[in-house]
Parts: sequence; structure tokens; C-alpha cells
Amino acid sequence: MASSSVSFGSFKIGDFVLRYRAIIGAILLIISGVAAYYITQVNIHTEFDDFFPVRHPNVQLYEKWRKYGGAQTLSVMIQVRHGDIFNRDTLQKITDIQTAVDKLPGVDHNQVLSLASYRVSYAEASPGSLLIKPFMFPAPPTDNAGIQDLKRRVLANESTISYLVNPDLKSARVQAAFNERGLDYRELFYEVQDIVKKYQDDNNRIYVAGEPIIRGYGYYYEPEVVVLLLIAVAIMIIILWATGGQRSRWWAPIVTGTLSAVWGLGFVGLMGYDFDPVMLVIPFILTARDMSHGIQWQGRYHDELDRLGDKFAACSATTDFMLPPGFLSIMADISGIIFISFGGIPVLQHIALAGTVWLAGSLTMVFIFQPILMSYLPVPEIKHRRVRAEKGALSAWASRQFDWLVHVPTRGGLLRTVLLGGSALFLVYGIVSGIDSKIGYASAGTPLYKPNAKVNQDIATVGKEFPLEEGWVILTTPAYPNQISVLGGPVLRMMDDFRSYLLGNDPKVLNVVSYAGAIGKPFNERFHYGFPKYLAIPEPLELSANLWFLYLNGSAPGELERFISSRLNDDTCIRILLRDHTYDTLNRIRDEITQFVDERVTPDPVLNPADPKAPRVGVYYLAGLAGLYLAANDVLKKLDFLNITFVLGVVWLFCIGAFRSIVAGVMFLLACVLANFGAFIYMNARGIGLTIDTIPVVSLGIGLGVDYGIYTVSRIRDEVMAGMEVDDAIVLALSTTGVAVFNTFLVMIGGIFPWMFSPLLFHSEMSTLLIFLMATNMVAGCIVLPCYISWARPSFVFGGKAMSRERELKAAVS
Amino acid sequence: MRKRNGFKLLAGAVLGVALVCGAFGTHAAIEGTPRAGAPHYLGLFGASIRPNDGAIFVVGAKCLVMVSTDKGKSWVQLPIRVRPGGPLFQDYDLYSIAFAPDGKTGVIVGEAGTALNTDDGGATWKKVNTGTTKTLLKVYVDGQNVVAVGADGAILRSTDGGTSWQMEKCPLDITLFDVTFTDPNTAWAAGEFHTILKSADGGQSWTIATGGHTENFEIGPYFTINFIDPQHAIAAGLAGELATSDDGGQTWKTSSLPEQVGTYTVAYDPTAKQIWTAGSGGRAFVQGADGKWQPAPRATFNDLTDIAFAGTEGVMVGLNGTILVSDDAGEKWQAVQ
Repeated sequence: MASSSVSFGSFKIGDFVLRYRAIIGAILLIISGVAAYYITQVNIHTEFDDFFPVRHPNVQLYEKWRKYGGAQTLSVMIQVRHGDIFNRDTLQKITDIQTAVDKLPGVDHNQVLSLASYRVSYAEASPGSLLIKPFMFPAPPTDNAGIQDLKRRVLANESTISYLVNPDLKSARVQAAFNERGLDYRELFYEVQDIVKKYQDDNNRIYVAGEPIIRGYGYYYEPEVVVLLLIAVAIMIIILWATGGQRSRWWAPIVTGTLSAVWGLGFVGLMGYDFDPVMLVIPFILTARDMSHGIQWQGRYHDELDRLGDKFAACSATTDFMLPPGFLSIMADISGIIFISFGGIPVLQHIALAGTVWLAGSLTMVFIFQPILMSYLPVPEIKHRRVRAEKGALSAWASRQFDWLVHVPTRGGLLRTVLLGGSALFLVYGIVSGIDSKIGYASAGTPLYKPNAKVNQDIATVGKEFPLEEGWVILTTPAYPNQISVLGGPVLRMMDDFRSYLLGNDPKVLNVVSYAGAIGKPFNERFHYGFPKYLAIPEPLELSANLWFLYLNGSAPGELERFISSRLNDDTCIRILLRDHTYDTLNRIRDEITQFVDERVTPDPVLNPADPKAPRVGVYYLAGLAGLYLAANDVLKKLDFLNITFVLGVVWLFCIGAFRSIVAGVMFLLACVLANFGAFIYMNARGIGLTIDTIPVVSLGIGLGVDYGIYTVSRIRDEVMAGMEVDDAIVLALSTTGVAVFNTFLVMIGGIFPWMFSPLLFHSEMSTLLIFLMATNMVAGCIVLPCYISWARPSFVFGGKAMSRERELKAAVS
Repeated sequence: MRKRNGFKLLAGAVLGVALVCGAFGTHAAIEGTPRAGAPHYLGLFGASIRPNDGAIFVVGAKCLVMVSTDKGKSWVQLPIRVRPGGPLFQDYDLYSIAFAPDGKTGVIVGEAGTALNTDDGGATWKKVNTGTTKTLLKVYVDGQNVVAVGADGAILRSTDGGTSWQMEKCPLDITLFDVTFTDPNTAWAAGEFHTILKSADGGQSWTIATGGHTENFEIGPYFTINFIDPQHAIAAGLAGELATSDDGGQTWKTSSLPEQVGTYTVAYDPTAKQIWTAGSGGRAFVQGADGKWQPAPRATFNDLTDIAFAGTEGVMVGLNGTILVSDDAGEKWQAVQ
């Protein structure tokens, strides 16, 4: 009797499962039933906060100072084709859009800003008075004189209103912030689309940008994604039928796959996690993975049936043979996904935990529930072998090629040398690419969608006219009337220096908006007859406080709070408006702020007195959306390294445990690196960075492919231990297990392939990446490893001391 | 829009600008950071064309002093130090620059009583102690005799080219925006409440020539005053208000520009014999020989703060790094990007 290379000593798990099949089966079905109930609780929803690492200082800073507005801003830009925005029609549209945006679900009413907002005001000097008036509230001017007057006011206040009206006067925007918790992106997205439809015409083009729209597009594409999902399922079923169709139980993997999906999704519902439609590709990988295990199992079951002739014996033997390597490969899969939870990013934690439960479900369903199910069903019939019967010239040719292929590892010679040498080179290149991998976003738009997608074109169009990304620097100071309160000259001066420092150093900085520059200086100027030389820091403190008071009383409620959140005047928010949120931009900004603090704040004896007990100015950065992205980048950078280290560590340990050989561990480790660091080659070539969206997929991909090699090498080892010649064992393993592995590969590809045509760039890139990964793993597991084994003859396959002992032990048991 | 220049990256690089020869000799080489133009995020407040050789000097926010010796094509930013600490601490605004007729002596004044002077034609500037923290808005250099005026009745006088200063008494507690001389003894200053002050002793003592009704808050300021010749003068202020004198400042007549535009500077172009005003929103007007005001083509929307003419050369500066240069006595103005 053939013995399993990997077993739990003398304990026969297969016999145990079959002996208690009723109880075990019932328990598993009850769990599945409960899980099925929780699937109804799954919420297809996107929670913005979940995308960022909660323990990162930037995220905590953002949470603490959330009163300065949400990080998610929506920009609705109206751009005229002819003339400028100063015509009755366009001004009316701006007013209407302002009103419509103010009615959007979840909008922060204090933060809806445009030329038409009553919170957007200017100060006018006339002898003896200073008047603060909104630009265009409550209604736009209707006569030409009024319109020209408005235009003059906008031009005169260009530096303060340029974030809402572009200086070329052809574009204006309505900007809105949102209350993040519980934002319904689907509803928001469609309501924004309604605004676009309603107000767009030939002369007035409307473009929308911002995080809520980016996330909302996931829902927009949902119908197409569902169609792709159905196509992918259909293809998987067809492949399943084609590979196992000569047997009547070819559909069994669908049952086990569905049940594991029920476990996984039920867990998501039970835990109350949100399910982002963009992430749909992940459950799909898991299902495809599950099916491929199912196919492996069925293949072996049929082999055992043929060999043993008895249903129960075959179920028991298949369980014994398949559970250990199945356990190993699923553990590798789990290790691929569980470590991404370490970064403290809630979305990744959810994916990691749900994925782990899902994979655990796979393990249980495929390797325990499946034999129970099979034991209750009649022996699968062998149907008429149509395919084999119609063997023609083509399949004869195919079979010759196949025969040639399975002999490649044992034939030796140049081809094998080239294969092994090439693999070694690829391995090195992969490692280099892995070290060189980029973190964060590489382009200005969103990498979730294609560069030519409407959302990215809109972002590019709006981004050309207005800044879309915002980073916050928070200052804390002693309260007024301290000389270094927010209103104090030294603090205002430093804020203003910060602006010119950033604008002078970094072309990615479009503007720096602070109380000093947006209110303090212009009000000082207005207060002094609008005389430009008074566009200066208001000093002394009393003057500054008077101007603050004038602004407070003259502006709309909540307007001052964008700058100074408290009436004590002991904190303020400086907003850095950025051109994009790429990795380089964000890192550079942080470095520049650090340098500014080191050279301008720390050495300033007024802001940072020598007396440690004296009150001082605190500078905290970076909050706002830019800060959140930066936080994610920081965590992902560490996570990427940690994750890969852990996954490889686990693969190594498991292989050492399973094959009782360090050489085996190292061999699989190198095979794993060889096959999976190709991901980085692909990503670097395509300019894809590691982001919250891509890291789970890449990570999962690393765990997925390693079992190809495990299955193949296990089989070779099994046959060698059963007394077969090495090269014969390799040929046999490749033509049996190798074929099953290839079938699994096909199922995976079939399931992933349709996603290449997804309207979401993320889906198509990730599916391409996964196919690439599956293929490299195929080649590594089925060709390169056997080549290596045939060439190097490692002792764990060919009988080291441990193996001899094992063989004796097995012989004794049998 | 405006081109952001990357020269800051080359900060520290030192450029020796070509030696410029003037009728009276050679100016010292000017060393500093090369720039294509002024940073768009800084306001410019003062401009001066150095007598003899036509080098353009502009001053602005955060200690910005720039020189062009090729009619605005290229610029050098001078290193200026007015506060203790590193370069980021040099953040006082500089509001006015003036040279003596010899082109050697020059003075810059600015925020918080800041003053700098030079005796080498502006190659190097030395911070000097003025004894005040009042903002100094305008300076006039008449040989070694220098007068600066500013906020809250600040009148400062120096008789040694701006090295030492004394505060003179202002008859009113008002802000003075401009000061000019018609001869070494006669000086004029313009300020709040349509006030024009006169000094007959080189700026030591001052009397009210016109205005001074400080009780009436509806009266605006005169931001600028200029004498075309000893007899003809013009002052301008808020909403296009003008005051002119044809009798050497004895009597003043009020009038106004065609539009109600805040006017911050008045200059006389001796070559084209035209008076220029410039101010809010980049609006400028020209008065020809017929005495009629014509709007000049608008070259910028930014507030214009100062104009200077010398020969056929002209320069205007304004907020957001605006520099306009003309080499045909104001026919055409070219923006420095």
C-alpha cells in the first residue's frame, strides 16, 4: 500500500472522519446554515475611515482635529467653453449647484463653499468703514453692471478666492466636505450625477472630482462587475466540467466552494464588516482557490476509486493523502493574507480575518466535508468518454507534446540547465524589483480606474484648475491674549513664512492657506484703506485681535472655524493644497515641513522659549487627506516587508515540518520567491504601487501558488518512498499530479481571466498580475522544481536518514 | 499662469553680475541668487532705477531685494539680513527703495522700523538702527539727506546717507504714505485725511500744507505725492481722488481720475512728458500734455504699488510678484515672468 509522505503518524484521519461522518457532517451543515443567515447582514458599503491605519499619528491627529473638516472633499467644477464665468447663465448655475450640493446626503453644511456661498466673503474698504460682504449671496447679479462689479471684486481678491474661481475666470467650483461616518457613496454618487446632468450644457461643462466620487464610481460600475462575476463563474463551471466531466461528480467542487463562500461571507456579516465593491476580486480569488483544491481532491478520489474499488476506502484514503498537503497549502494561503492585518488598517484587517475564515472554510469543506458528501453519494459513474473516443490527429500531437513536456526535468542537458539558470536570474531580478517596489499612488488620479475613465479625466481636468489634495498642519498655542496665541504677530509671521517657504521650494504645492494669509493680512490691508503695503502681518496684538473680531462678526457662522476652531484662539489649521497625492509628493512635503520646523520654529526663542515651563507653539503634521494617505504609505511600506518575511517564514517552517528537511524548506522558499517576486517585476513595469487596494491581492497571490510545488513534490516523494525510480517518479507525478495542478491552474485562470476586462483598472491589473503569478507558480512548481530535484537529488526526496526512518515506520505501520 | 522658477534650488550659488559702467564710474559687482523674476507669492512694494546706469532695483515682502542690470531680463536676489536667525527668519516686508543722484548712496525702509543703506550703489546693504519699530512706508534720498515716513506719524531723517537717524516731530498723529523733495530744503509728505505736509528745512520740521481734518473719518488718505517741476504737483488717494497744485504747493485743487480706483503711486515720465498713476487691480492712467486722463492698457490684475522712470526706461511693480518693464517710455509694458 502506498503511504502518504505527510501524515499524522499512525492516526488515520480519513477513517475518523468517515466513522463519525453523520455527526461531523451535521455540525458543518449547521455552521453553514448559521453563516448563511449572516450573509443577509452583509453590507455593501464603503467606510472611508477604514482605509487608514488607526494608530498612525497622522490618523490620530486627523481624528483629533476633525472639526477642521472632513478629509473627503467633493469638487464640482463648472467650466465655460466661451468667454468667462461672468455671465448670467453660468453665475445662476453656480448658485444652483451650490444649493444642490448643500442638499447632498452627508454633506457638512458649514463646508460647502463656492462663489455663491454666503460663507465666502470679501472685505471692502471705504473711508471710515470696513465692510464684509459675501461675493454673490443670496443671488447672482442679473444686470451687466452688477456682473462686471462682481468680476472686479473677484479679481481684486484673487489670492483669497483662487481656490474657488480660477484666475483665468473660465472655471469655478463648488467644494464640499462630508461627515465621514456612514456616508452612502452610492446615493451620493448618483445624486452628484444628477447635478451634472441637470446643469451641464454646451457652454457650461461640469466635472466632478474628490474621494467620495472615486469611491462612488465603484457602485457605478457595479452592474458591469456583476456581469463579469457571472461570466467568471460560468467559465469556472465549464472548466470544471471539461476537466472532470467524464465523472458524474464533477460538480462537487461547486458545492464545497459555495459552502466555504458561505462561511467567509457569513463571517463578514457576523462581524459587521463593510464590503467594498472594489474588493470583489478578493472573494473571487478565494473561491477559485477553493475550487482548485476541490479539483485536486476529486482527481485523487477518482484515482483511489480506480485503485481500491471501494467508495469508503477511497474516501478515507483520499482524505489521508489530500488533507496534509491541502492543510499545508491552505496554511500557506492563510499566511499570505493574515499578516496584512498587522498594519492596523481596518479594511486590511477585515480582509485578512474574513479571508482566513474563508480559507479555513475551504479546508474544512474540501478536505472533510467532501469525503463525507462523497460517502453518502453513490459511486461516481464513468460517463461515456466522448473526448477520448474522438481522439484525432490534434490530440495525438497534443499528447506527444505533453509527453515531451513531462520528460523535460529528467532529460537533463541544455534545456534543463537553461531553465535552472534562467530561474536563478529571474529570482535575482524579482528580489531586486521587490526591494525597489513603489509604495502609494504613482499618478495624480486614482489607480482604481483606467486613466481614460471619466473619473480620472474629470480629476485631471479639475486638478488643472484647482488643488484637490489637502494636507493640514495644526498649530497649538497659548490662548489669547498671550503674545504667541494664534493671533499673535510671531505666530502669524511664522505661518506666513511657512507659506512662502513651501511655495518657493515645492512646485507640487499650489497654495498654503492659513489664517495669517487668508484673513490676517488681507484684513490688515482692508483696514488700512486697502493700501497694498499693509498686506502685512497685523501688529500689535490688539490690532490683530480687532481684525479677528471684525471678521468673526462680519462673516457667516462657521467661517472662522475653518481656520481657528476655538474662541480661545489657541489652535489653528494651516492647509497645504497639493497638486497630487503621489508617494513622492507626500514624502517630500513631510520632509519639507520637518525642515521648516527645524530651521524656523525650533530655533525661534519667542515661539519656542528656552524655559521648559513657558508656554510654546506646537506644530503637528500631517493631517487632512494627504496626511491619511501618507499614514497608509508608511504602514504599507513596513507591512509589505513584514508580510513577505512572515509568509516566506511560514512557508519555510511548514515545508521543514512536512518534509522534515531544511533543504526542502529552503527549496520551497526559493521556489516561492522565484514565482512570486515576479509580481514586483510586473508592478514596477506597469507603475503600480503597493496601496491599500493592491496589497491584499499581491499578498494573497504569494500564498496561492506555492502549493503547486507542494502537491507535485509530495507526489514525487510519495512515489520514491513507494520504491519507484527517481526519474520515473517525476514523470509519473507530472503526468498525474502535474495534470491536476494544471487543471487547477486552468480553473483559477478561468475565474480570474474575465476580470481583465473589468472597467476598473484595479481589477484588470490585479487579474493580470494574478494570472502572471499563477503561471510563474505553475512553471516553478511543475517544471523548475522537478528539474532541480532531478538534477540535484536532494536527500529529503531520495532518502536521507530521516526519510529512511520514516520509510521504516510507514512499512511497520502498514 | 505664472511660471514658478526653480532657481531657489540653486540657492547659495553665487553669480557675479557683469560690471556695469556708468558715466560716473564703475558700480561694484552685485552678488546673489539668480532669478528669472519675483516669486509670485510675494508682493513687491518699491522700485527704483539706479541713476547713471539704469539698473532696476525692486523691493518686496520678506526682505526681497532684486536687481536687474539688463532691463528686467534677468535678476539677482540679494542676501538681506534684518533679523537674528537663519534665512527663514528674514521675513520683514521692505516697502521702499531710493538712490541718491550719484547712484552710490541708497536706502531701503520697511516693516517694524527696518532700514538698510548702501554706499556702493546697492551691491551690499547694511541694516541700520532707526530707533523705532513703526512701519516705514516710503523713503526719499537727496544726497546724504534722507527722509523716511510711515505709520503713526513716523518721520525719520538722516543726514549721513541713512547711517544714523533721528525722529522728527509730525504735526499730526496720522500715517504718512509718501515723501518727496523739490529742492534740498523743500520736502513734501502725503498722508491720511487728505493731508499734505511741507518742510522748508530739509525735513526737520513740518507744517500742514493742506488737509489735516483728522476729526472727519469720511476723508480718505493721499497715498502718493509727486512734483513734476517745482511748480506742478499731484497727489492721489482712495477712489481716484486727486489733488493738484500749479503754484509750488501753495494751493491745492481736488479732482479725480475717470474711474474710482485706489491709486497708490504717481510718477512723471520726463521723456514722454506724461504723468502716470497706478493702483488697485492693476489699473493705470496716463495724463498727456492736453491734461486728459486716459486709462493705460491693463497689463495685470494685481495691485500696482510703485512706478519709476529713467530716460526711456520704466518699471512698475505690484502684488503677487508683478514686475512690468518698459524700454520705450511707457508705450508698451512687458511683464517679467
